[in-house]
Amino acid sequence: MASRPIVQQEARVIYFYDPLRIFGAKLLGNAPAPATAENNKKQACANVAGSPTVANGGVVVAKRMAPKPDQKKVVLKPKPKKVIDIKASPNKKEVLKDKKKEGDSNFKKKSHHTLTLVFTTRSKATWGITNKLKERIIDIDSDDVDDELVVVECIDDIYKAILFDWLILVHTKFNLLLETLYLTINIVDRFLAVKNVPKRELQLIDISALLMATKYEEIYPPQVFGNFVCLSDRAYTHEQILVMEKIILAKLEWTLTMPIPLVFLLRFIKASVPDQELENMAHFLSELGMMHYATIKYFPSMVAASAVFAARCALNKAPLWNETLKLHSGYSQEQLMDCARLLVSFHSTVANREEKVVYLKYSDPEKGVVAMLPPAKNLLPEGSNSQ
Amino acid sequence: MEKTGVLSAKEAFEKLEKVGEGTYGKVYRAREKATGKIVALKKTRLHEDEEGVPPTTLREVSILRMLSRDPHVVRLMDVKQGQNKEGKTVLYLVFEYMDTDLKKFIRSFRQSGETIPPHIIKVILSICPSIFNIRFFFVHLFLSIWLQSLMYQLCKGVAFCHGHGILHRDLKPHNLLMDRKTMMLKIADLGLARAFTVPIKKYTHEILTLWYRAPEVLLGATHYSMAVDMWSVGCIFAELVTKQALFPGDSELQQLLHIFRLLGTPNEDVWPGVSKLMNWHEYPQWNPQSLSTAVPSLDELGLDLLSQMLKYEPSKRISAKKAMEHVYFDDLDKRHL
Repeated sequence: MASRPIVQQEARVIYFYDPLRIFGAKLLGNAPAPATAENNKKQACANVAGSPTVANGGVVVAKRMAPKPDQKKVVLKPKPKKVIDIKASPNKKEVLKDKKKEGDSNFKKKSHHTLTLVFTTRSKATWGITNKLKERIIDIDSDDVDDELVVVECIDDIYKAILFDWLILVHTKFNLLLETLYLTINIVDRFLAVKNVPKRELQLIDISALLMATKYEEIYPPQVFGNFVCLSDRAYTHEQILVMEKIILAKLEWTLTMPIPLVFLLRFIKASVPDQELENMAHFLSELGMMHYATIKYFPSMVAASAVFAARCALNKAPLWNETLKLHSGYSQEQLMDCARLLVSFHSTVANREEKVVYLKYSDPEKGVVAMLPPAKNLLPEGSNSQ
Repeated sequence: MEKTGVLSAKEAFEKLEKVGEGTYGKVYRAREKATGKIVALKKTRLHEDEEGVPPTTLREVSILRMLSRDPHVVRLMDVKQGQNKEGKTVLYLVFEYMDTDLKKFIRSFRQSGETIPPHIIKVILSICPSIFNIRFFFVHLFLSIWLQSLMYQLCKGVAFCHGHGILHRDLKPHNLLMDRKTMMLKIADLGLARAFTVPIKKYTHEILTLWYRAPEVLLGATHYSMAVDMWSVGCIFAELVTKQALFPGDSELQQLLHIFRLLGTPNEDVWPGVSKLMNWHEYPQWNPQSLSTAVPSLDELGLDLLSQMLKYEPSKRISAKKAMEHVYFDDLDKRHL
């Protein structure tokens, strides 16, 4: 037990000194094993469920789905408890008009004084621009599920985790803002949802997305020539990085002002009246969520609220969810359950994964060693072994 | 906004004249060949040999993609790529064309004295028909309605930006475009704008043109919020009345001294935390003057609104949304704005 921190320290040293070569090798070496009939069936199911398909040699990710109608359930309101208003100053209060929450026709938001409105407004405005109704896509590959030559290659969680691991290392190395990390992931996810790319270009996309995010968020972005070319271990030229930047911008129609979970997370953490441990745990769970595609189907605000809820559960905070949090997040405890369980399941398996930079980051004493704390037992399925 | 252009800028537009220039590049009045529509083309060179798309362009386009639907924010119609004579990639931002800006408008007023052009009289009468009932009205009455209209539109545009979590950070008369015929005002040039999060994080203090820069920014604050825009709105308000800048400093120190002479040297009583700001020193001690000494022709209600926009303590400064509800604007028929 005593040697565990040393092992982690070594692991971190290895990652930091040669993350770029490791990243490239992992990415190209992680091609899925020849698909078994079982895998093919799963793939077919995924396609039927609405995942996009792509010709051989390309890769895709699951497109952002609209939230399921059952994400928000109308619950009978208990007697109102005392609600703490976390507004900065009374003269900034803005009254929310009764508005229907996106994606749900039954749920009405009450008239409240809350700054979350600003973020929701920004979120709605952004999605209003880019979400156009699309025709239903017919799955043209369903008949070919047993043909190994036609099997669709997906960027699955392994690829995403490798990309994310590398990003966190770079993010730490350059001492970038958390906003930059979240925006980079958002750019990559959205780009891969609309463009099929060869596997060898994944790191190039990552680097260009990081470049764009630093320009958008940082006061002094790192220089392309000095820094970003070296990040790829000179696998890509200065020009390739900048050309890819233009391609991504064109594909995303220059929409970078996006609702990212972090914007909501900071707000909901504040509503949680947190201690440092709770804050670290919420950030840890939120970043774990970014590593996996399973969270894409939830609104950024829901992922953020679920991270705070799961953090409170893990640290046995009482009550687990209160009226203040419900007011400022717009979600009840019941509505957060599915997403929170998902985040906790990631927490329970992260220590055994090969891609564990997030785990190492939050195992640091500076971050309160929250990654080593046991996950929220009440949100884990019975019989599952944690860590 | 349309998808990034199928036709190149050269094929799609005919440049008519250069109407402006800045650090970002040049602005042209141009005609869209397909429709004959007059547009403004803002040209930005992409530094492929250096850093690619400039951060200001990245932010401006991204933010305008979200804000362009508001009538008081300039409309970004398209983004097109082209090449210059050296074969370098050039980016053209295609905006709706506005025939003047507030800086030029104020200058033209200053030159023509107090005379009001007939087309403005027509617009004012449509905004405030009750003036018809006054047989003998004075020039300042017209100016007052005209002023209220422009200020209300400015507050409305700023409130829209802030409501979507965007700080403009460079509000000044030059960045407020106008249509002379309709007296419509639109916020432009969001190159320094950025999305903000709560709690407010650290931002650069190298923002805003000096004359319109809030005291917290001049004193080196890196955590600032919507109040920096409201200070600029206050400075613009005063300038619209007097036709000259309220605080025309030529250095950061001179700028602060201009502010302190009029509003008094701040201290911990009027602005808690001021002495802890990065650039705080022992400054000469001045007592606050009445705002009417600097803006003598502004009425009592206008002075009240202005004083709330120029409060030292950022959290006490009036918000754009609250400013729209101020009694100063009660005479306006807001349906036209």
